[in-house]
Amino acid sequence: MPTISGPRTTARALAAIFQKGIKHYIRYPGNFLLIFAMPFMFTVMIFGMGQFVGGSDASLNFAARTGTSNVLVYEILGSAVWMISWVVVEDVGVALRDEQMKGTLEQNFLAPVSRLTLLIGLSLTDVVITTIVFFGVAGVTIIVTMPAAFLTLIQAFLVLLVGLIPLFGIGFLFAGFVVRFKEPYMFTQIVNLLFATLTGTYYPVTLLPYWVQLLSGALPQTYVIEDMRRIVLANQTLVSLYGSIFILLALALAYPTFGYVVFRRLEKRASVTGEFSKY
Amino acid sequence: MNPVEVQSLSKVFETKEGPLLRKVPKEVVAVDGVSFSVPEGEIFGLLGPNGAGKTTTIKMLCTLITPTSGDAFVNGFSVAKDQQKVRENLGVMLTGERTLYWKLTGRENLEYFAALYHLDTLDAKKRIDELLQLLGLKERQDMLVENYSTGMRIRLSFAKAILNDAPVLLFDEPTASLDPQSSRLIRDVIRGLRKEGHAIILTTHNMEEADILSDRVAIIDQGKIVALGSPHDLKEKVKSSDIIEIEARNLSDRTANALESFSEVSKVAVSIDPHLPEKGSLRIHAEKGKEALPKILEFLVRKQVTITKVSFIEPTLEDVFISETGRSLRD
Amino acid sequence: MSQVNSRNTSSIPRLLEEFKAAFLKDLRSYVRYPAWMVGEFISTPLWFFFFALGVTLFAPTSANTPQEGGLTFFFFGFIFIILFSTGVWGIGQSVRNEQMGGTLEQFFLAPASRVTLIIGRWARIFLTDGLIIGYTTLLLYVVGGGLVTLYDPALFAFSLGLYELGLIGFGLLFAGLTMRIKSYNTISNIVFFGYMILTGALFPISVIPIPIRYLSMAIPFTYFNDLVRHAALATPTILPEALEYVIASLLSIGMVLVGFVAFKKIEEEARVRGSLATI
Repeated sequence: MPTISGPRTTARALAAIFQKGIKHYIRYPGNFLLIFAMPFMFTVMIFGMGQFVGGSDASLNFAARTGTSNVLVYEILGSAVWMISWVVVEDVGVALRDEQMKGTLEQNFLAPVSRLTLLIGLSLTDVVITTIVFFGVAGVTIIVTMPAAFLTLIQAFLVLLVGLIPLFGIGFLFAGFVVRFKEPYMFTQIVNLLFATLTGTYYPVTLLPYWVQLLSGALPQTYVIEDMRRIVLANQTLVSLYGSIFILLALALAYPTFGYVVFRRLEKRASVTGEFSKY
Repeated sequence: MNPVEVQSLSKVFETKEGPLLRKVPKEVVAVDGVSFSVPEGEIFGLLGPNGAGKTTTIKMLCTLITPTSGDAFVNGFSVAKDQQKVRENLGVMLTGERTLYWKLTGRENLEYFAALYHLDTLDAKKRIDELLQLLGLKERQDMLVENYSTGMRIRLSFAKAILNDAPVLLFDEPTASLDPQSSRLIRDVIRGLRKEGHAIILTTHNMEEADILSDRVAIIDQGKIVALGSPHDLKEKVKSSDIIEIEARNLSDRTANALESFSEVSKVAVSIDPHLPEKGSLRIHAEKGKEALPKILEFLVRKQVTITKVSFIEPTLEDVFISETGRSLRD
Repeated sequence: MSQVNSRNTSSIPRLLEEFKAAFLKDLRSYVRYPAWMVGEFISTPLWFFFFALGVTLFAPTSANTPQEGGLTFFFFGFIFIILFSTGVWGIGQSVRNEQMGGTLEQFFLAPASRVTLIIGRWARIFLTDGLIIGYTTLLLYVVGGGLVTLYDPALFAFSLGLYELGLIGFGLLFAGLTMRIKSYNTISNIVFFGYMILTGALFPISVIPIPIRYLSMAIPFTYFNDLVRHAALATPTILPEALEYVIASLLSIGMVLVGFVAFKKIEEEARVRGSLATI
């Protein structure tokens, strides 16, 4: 009997893709733990190097440049967003490459499920994972060092949720490149490194040359990191940041649309050249 | 001493089974006291169903797996004690197309392995040219293996196995996944190698291949050799029985077991097509098969089996397997 | 078909042929993944500038960049990171990759020396790492005006030799471990971060709190890093210079022996378990 596509079957497919993604994380607990550990490890490295360079005045110098002496929270917020960005880009983009290498990509593409459903299913997994990462990394750090900051933490999380949507769009873009060009790992490493450099992960973007700041302005992570720092460390509210929230919403519209269009184009090309089954 | 001597070789794997925190250790006997020898200029077939222990036996012979007990000797060198020497005297082809470097060309793969097998540079070049020509890969020698078809990769893997002209050759399912033309080519080359005096061990679950290619066959099941001899001699043993093949629909194991209660019937093996469960066949070993046939057919009709074809056939190695194990080789 | 003359396995020319074959194989594979090559050349200086910017926040406010001495200190830190990643990913993980790719069994079937094959691979990585380091040094000079000079070139070469010897031993040990444990990604990252934080690679161990500093002093790479930097920048050594060189020499030889023995033992165990081909 032929299968009939409709809202119910699409929802089932989404649930199945979501469940597969979650199981993948549960069955590779080492990788999952690493996602939690890396933000702290990078922060310790920066802090250590900073202590060496600044000596006894290191924290004062930091406060003079950033407006806060809370080095840990400042760096952890940037680190957490960087890690979340890395997870999303890899999970949506590289996941397809993994499937290609295992030989299951063709099986996925053979099924009567739209590509959009496939990509959204992958993204849904990441909503859960990034939430866990955010609260596990940034949340724990903030609650421990600033116990009265629970409400600000929730506001910061809301900023992240809005910022995730354009990130998924970037992930769709990657997915297309991966299916077509087949070498994602170095590609994602460079792009994630560029994101970290451009979006103020460990420093304010104002430190960068003006023309580079224009590039930073096109990336959602820049606004997410900056807004989170203002909410948590400078006691600003979500409402007062309406300008950058508006920009984030605009990016939330632009990136997924653009990313999906590019993905479909590259996928079509891949089906002409027979890339799906190539290892 | 023969180039290959296998003496009571056994392999027991230790695994753990059960729920996450309550795993229980379990031993799996993959090979159980296997013994045989292979002289120069002989093709020795190891025939058996999947999971019989063929690949484990091969891997013990080529030192990739350490035996639990027993020993084997390759050109006089023990697989347990002289592993390096054993490797020098072996050419091995394992199953699968991912035994080559995909980012090297066909020629580069062979050059690399030639160096690892310590071939003289000039000899290696000549040998590689010959093998690429012989196996129809000359024109694609400078193409990356990742762009080869499956058949080409398997042929290249075969070339790598015979590159070092070793006295003993092990081929694990050498024609699996190959089209009939390529399979014929590989078989012809193997026959040529036999003429040159190599001792060759060949594993296969393809009964016809074992029959036409091997000088002697060991039928292996559940880690043990259940029959050993030339294909002709093995088939002669079951010739005392008539072999009736019945193709039918609605067959079941129960029906087949019931047939064994007939006094004239010595063995019955049923094969159900996994893709079309309603389609199957019976292979019945019976004394005076022509006299027993009407009774058998009447029984099947009563059991509402729809018979589509009945024939008396010459015994094959499959029948040897059935007579020893009561099961079909395809199970 | 023609006859083949194989030679005796124990001669030096034989080992050189094996080394050359392994080196060429690795070089060809590397060059044929252009994304990796380009990626490494782009990402290496990018990592350096990214961290340097982060550390700037801690520098005295009159400086717009970390002090020049600090910059050169970090630069050597990044050289150490590049070199150390050879041991972890270049040698260690590569054996695991061969296992997953199906070629590890072919590696073990051949009557070739395991160590020579691994050293052949190390040599390729050393060559490409050298090119990357040279190129990054040039970039630093062109962009930042910084010039890396060597205080004592002969001592530097000797110290680097001790480092590389220890690295080969570590690589062999790691290769065996990843073959055995299989979840190489998590272990690799933990080991890598441990190296960056604990061994004085990016900042002197004097910055590390005392109890943890004892752990640092138990790690051989702490001394290798220290001596390379001492020979290049005339920085003070952790222990008296002569004593530290003796200890480092013994450690590097010891690591090669331990690595070799461990690799052989794990290989033997894999043969007993039948797990050489297991993914």
